[in-house]
Amino acid sequence: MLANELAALLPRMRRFARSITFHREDADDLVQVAMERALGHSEQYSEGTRLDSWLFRIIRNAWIDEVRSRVRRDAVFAPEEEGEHVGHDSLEAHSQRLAVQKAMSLLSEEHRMVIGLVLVDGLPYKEAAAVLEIPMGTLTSRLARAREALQKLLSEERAAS
Amino acid sequence: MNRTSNYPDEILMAYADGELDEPQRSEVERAVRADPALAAAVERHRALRKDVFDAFAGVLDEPVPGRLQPGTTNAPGKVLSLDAARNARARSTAAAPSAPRPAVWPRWTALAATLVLGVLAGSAWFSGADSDAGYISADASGRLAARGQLAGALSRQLASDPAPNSPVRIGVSFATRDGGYCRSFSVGASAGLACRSGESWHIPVLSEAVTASGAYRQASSSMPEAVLDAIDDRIAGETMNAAAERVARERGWKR
Repeated sequence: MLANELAALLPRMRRFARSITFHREDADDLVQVAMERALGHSEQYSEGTRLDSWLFRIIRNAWIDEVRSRVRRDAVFAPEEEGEHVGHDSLEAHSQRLAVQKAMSLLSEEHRMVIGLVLVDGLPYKEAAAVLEIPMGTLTSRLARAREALQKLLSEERAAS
Repeated sequence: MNRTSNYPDEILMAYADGELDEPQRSEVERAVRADPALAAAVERHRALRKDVFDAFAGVLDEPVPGRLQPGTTNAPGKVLSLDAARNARARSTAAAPSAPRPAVWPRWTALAATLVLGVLAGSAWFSGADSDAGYISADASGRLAARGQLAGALSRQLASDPAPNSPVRIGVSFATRDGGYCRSFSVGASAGLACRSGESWHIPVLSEAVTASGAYRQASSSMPEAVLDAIDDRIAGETMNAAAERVARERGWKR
């Protein structure tokens, strides 16, 4: 049953959504809109193709044409989960995570998406290109530029701290 | 001399990501072994990938909020608190003026409400696809569609021109952002939103039309908030007037 398969993908979808938007609530709103669309348009899913890619594409579209416009206008990175993981590992690893999340929030939307798909979720390039509806060549060059931008932000942050 | 120029960064990145096919992979591997500068570049890509992955990995361990779960897993008891929960969220938003309006309300709960309604109202209301009776049917995936008199009313009745003998009242009709048409309706003790999908009317939201005192509202009175929210989420522009409705009806509610 499609609903069950979709439900099984929820943790990954939430993680991807979190890499696009900065607030947990916004990310979950995005996933909720996408889940609703997925179930409402389940006939558009073709059996035998990757359900995760289909769902990622719905999330991306939902973000672009619906959710993006209504997320918090003052959307700046706010580490609301601060302290949540402390205790499980070193303070250093914790601040590294926050630094990456913050740097991600400063990237362009295109760059966040491609990094969210390939580096956060681990989709193969081919699948990521299909989700973003761009050719492979565009995907690789966009991913390379996104990484470069992220690396730069992280170095600046390290230099500043 | 910068020997890394022999290999564009994109190739090294693809190698680090395990995306190269043979024989290119072995070729890059040999070059990386022979050139510390190349090895360092590959290592940078891998380290960044790991850092980014680690930064979001914790999300997977978080419990998934109930509102994201597809409807069938909702406890029926939650349905009763639908209005209360909705109002509570609306109030908390009103208290913080800078916050946007609540983005989406759990429609899964509304779907669960449908199932409860079906049980309460019996087969006249909610029926399997193999029955002739009922207003709504659900397919195997739990997707709801209008049938019988409801489907007929949605296709033919105008909001501006209510049919006195029809049990169905149409609220508003509007064009959606994704290029379709939806219409709000009420029938008996329930109200919902129906959206044209191919040759049928898909029902994304269905809710009980109850006032705060518990009495059923007049069918023509205000729509439940869950339905209004669903309209807000979808509407492109204004609701349709009588002339626009007639045109859409003639085209079979297709754009």
